[in-house]
Amino acid sequence: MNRKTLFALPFILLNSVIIFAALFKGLQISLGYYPIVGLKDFSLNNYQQVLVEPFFQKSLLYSCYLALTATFLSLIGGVALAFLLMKVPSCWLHKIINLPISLPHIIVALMIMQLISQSGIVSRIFFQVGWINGMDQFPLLIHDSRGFGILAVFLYKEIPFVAVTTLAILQQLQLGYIEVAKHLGASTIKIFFSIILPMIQKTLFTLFIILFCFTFASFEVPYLLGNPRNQTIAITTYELFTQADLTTRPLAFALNLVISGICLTVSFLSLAISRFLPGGRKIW
Amino acid sequence: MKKWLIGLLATGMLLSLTGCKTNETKEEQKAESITTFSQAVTEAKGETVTFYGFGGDEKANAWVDEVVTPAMKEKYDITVKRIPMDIDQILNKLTTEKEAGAKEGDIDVMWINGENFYTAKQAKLLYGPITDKVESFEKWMDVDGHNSTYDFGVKIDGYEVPYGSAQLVFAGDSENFKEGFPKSTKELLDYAKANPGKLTYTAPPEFTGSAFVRNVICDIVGYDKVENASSDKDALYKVIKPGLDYLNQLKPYLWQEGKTYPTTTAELDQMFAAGQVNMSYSYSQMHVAEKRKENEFKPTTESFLFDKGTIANQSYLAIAETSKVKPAALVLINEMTSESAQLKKAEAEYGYSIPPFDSNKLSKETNQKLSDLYKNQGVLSLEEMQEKQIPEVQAEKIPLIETLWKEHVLHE
Amino acid sequence: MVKLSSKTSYYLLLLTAFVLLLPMLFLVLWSFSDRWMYPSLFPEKVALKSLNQMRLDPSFFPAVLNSFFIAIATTFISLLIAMPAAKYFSLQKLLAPRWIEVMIYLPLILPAIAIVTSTQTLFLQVHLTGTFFGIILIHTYFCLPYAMQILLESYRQLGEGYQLTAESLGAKPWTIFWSITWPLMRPGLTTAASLVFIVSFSQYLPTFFIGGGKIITLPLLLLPYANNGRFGLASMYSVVFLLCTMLGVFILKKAIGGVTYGTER
Repeated sequence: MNRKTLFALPFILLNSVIIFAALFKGLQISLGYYPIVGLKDFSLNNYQQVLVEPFFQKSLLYSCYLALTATFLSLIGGVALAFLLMKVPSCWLHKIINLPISLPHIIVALMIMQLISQSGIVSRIFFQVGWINGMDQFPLLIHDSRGFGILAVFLYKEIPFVAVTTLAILQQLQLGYIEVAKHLGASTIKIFFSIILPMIQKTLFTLFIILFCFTFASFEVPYLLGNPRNQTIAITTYELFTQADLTTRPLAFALNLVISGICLTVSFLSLAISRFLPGGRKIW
Repeated sequence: MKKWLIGLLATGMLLSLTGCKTNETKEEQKAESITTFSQAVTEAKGETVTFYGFGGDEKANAWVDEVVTPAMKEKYDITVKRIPMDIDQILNKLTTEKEAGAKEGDIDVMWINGENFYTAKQAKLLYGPITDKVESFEKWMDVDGHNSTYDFGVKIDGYEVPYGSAQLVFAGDSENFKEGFPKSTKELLDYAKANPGKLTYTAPPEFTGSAFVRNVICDIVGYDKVENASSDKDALYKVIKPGLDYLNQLKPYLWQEGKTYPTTTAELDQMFAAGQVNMSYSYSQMHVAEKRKENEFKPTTESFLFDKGTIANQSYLAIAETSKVKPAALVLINEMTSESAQLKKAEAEYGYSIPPFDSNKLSKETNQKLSDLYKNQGVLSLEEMQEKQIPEVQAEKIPLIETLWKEHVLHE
Repeated sequence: MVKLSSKTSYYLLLLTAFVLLLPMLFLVLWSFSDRWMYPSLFPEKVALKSLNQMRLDPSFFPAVLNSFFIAIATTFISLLIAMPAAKYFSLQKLLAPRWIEVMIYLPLILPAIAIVTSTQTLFLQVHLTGTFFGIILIHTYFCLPYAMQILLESYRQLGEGYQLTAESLGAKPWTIFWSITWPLMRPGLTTAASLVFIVSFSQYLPTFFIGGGKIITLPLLLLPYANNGRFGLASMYSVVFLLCTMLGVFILKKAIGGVTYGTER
């Protein structure tokens, strides 16, 4: 342990203490030890109950669907946007693209609702132009089972986020490689897959992990814009948490730990995949 | 490196295990010894007290900031701080503080009711009894009435003071109900069949939507049956099944054929205002008057009820067990439930709120002022509202009913 | 790259910016509207109602100040912690890069609500709840991943070469930092700082639980109105929110500086 390690110390300290405390408490309560309500035995009952519940599997799948779709689309859209940003150095446009990142998700959810609900702005435009005759003819884009509104919110926020992060990385890359490749006659597609992608691939997988976990555990947006028939897992947890009856708390904590487990698994898997793809093992 | 990790693990665990040792503070001894209101006033002089309550109603917020806070400063030299916080989170905060062994917390007075009172009492989060120490209770309220002894079917035992009342009221545009408003679930179903796609309700466990479902059930099955049913899920299901069947019958005639529902009452109101659906509802009796005044509802909008009654309840004020300034908290509650403050709250500016008073204890002028409230456009008379009331179902049954609705209506 | 002329790229970007800006413009319209029913495209009545209600709330101005203070402090501390840590992790050979990444992203992977509620208990025991320091700490926890991610890549790009060369020429560590590391790291630092500022400014759950209501920030005022459908008021607060974050990022960019747009090679 040398002096250099001291550099990393505050970082490790802060994260460890918080995470361990949370993990410990979560485990403690979910395994049944909750003195304030009088529960004092340890058991795996809560986990069993949570995993067997019929709605759990449904909401798990739905959360996965939302998270995967939102993340994939955001990554593709974001990288494309990053290239656009690189080509166009306009200061103002860059600033505008940065704006959605600052908005809290709930505001974006409200904005989207005001835009694409059946009584929203887009519907009013269609009405004025004569494309529809009444608001019921406007397609249902929120509270629908495909989660269109929810995806719109996440895309609105995440595409700029991906773009800006990727841009920062792209700007620091040595693009000389591309010039060389072009000189040597490589086609655009080959350049993209052999040179650019490996360079940004690690960042993309990282972004995938962050976005997936966030969307997976997201609560407010699906709550506001979702279909009550398709609950996400975070909503189920929230409902367990806010029951008047405190004895459901252990269930909620168990669910919390399950969600964390899933997120961690997905993260490890993604990192493993990234390792095997070109560019995965290099340290720049 | 390994040693470090183990060390950190241990630190984290240790910190989460140890509770804080605190000695009984001087404050606690003070609180125990308060027996009269005037004593509370003397002890509370110069203190700062916090009020935690729902923050999404800007009129209620303005009332606390513009009416109560100055009055408290002037009359008792006490500073009031209003903190917007949902009751779920208030309870969560108190629970967590209790788990951590804290003897003192930030919350003094809180706005609470129903299922949440049940939780708070169960977990011993409240200080009390307080009704004997708050003057307004004896002075203006119906001390033995149902609302002063039971909250959502839970015995109050003096741990909370009535603060306001609420009743589920439906809103409709009289232009859309040429044959009169539906006065029962049967008439509602007929209307739905004649006007498919024009009705909907917010999905439980949304607070008011849940009340709507309970109201429908009580209208069909009868309140007494529901009250007497045991709190076991299967037994309860058998009792409320006719109500759930009705909702399933209603489903195909709802907006989007009942395949989806709005999730907040704000959204339902918006759909109603835009003409997408013909009916909305609210727990606030004056909702229609308020919305008409703000030009959000059309002037032809009126309130209506079921003949068999709609659910009514009270909201209350309570004091946290961990409050550091219990005397000041008592004074605040007294002021908030005083005649002067409540009359102001009844004005349009502060939301047309109905005071929790017993009309027998009020002066003639006050009674006149209050009944004039009901002469507002779009609102029903006080007599009608009081006539057509049914009490709330017991708190522990509510989540069960919500789950049953989900299982048998939503996913049918 | 893809065969897009500069002109097409420009128009595409313009279109994207427009699509992103549109909802925000309507947000502004909502802040100043009094009555806006279907099917009108613009508010029927314009009023300063929401603006006044917002100004008159006694917690409004303190909330803005608190948000700023906490965000700036969090940015400062996050950078302070992240910079040495990122440098260490970029150079060390002990742990595989992947493990480091997992370590860094843990705060984003684990569900926030679980972490925040448990941290509340922890902080309660060490009397950190209701204090600015406690809030800044928990914000830093959530913001560090963003800072670390960006700075880690930046340090990796930087490499050790310049530093080693300078060392062998006899330069002192402080000189190396100021003359070599700092100028080269500035773009990364600016991006990291801006991101941390924004993330901290928009935090709701941590401030809510750890602040315990004693310390009010802008999101805490905004969310109850947003949740309850007071859309005019919520829009007004959102507009103020946006302006504040833009201001904050602007200040940070000026202070740290060094960002170039596009490639100028």
